[in-house]
Amino acid sequence: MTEPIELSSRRLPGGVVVISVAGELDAHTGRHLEAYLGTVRERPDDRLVIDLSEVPFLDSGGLRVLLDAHVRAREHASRVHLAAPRRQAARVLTLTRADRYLRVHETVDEAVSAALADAPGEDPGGTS
Amino acid sequence: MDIGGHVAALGGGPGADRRLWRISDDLGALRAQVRTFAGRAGLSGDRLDDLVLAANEAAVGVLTQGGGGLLTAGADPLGVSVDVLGGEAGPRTGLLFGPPGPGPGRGGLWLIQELCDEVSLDDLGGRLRLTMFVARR
Repeated sequence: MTEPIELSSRRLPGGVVVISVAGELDAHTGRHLEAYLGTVRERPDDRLVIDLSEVPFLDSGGLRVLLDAHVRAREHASRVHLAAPRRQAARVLTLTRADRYLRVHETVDEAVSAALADAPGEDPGGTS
Repeated sequence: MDIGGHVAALGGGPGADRRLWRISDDLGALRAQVRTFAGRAGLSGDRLDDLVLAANEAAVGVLTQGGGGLLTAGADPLGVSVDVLGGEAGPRTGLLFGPPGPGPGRGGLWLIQELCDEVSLDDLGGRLRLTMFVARR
């Protein structure tokens, strides 16, 4: 099997949860991330920052998990922010035009700032 | 095996290099093998990443069909080819999904077409074969 991914999270004041992913994010490991996202959300409108800086590979299965998280967040007027994707993951996000839906930031700090700027419980707008 | 296209041209050619792997759930190992082969064959940067991702997506498609399959990689002076041959059993929906999006079963073949310079899909007596080519440039 593909090497397992390592997942960790920290909750910040203001309803922002930063999830760090380390490892290849593919159709198999994406299932672990999907389950993990369900466990770290304390409120449905929590704003998620997913740190991709330690993800050397992203495929369509992994991307689907990120897009599903986006859809779930939108249902609760929230948003998913992606932080610091490496070159391959950034290319996948661009090629698939997923970056039209998922907010992509160069650093975790930028993503956290953007997430904090999203007013909780209000429709953040943008492409749904 | 009649493999056609770029890979067939490699068959008896001098310096032709080919490798074959069985497709299993160990996608990480398969990606590493394709990456090593294609890197040694001269692909690098986005070109190398694209071929590895395309091969991965095709292998996922085979696994989605529920059967085993084979992946063959070949190199020539122009670039690197990957053939993915699916098994006989199972539905053929594994590769034939639309653009990436939420929900299962999307993205594979669409993404492969975006990543590769040449893509062909044909039927070999009940088994689907996907041929992908990425040029060195």
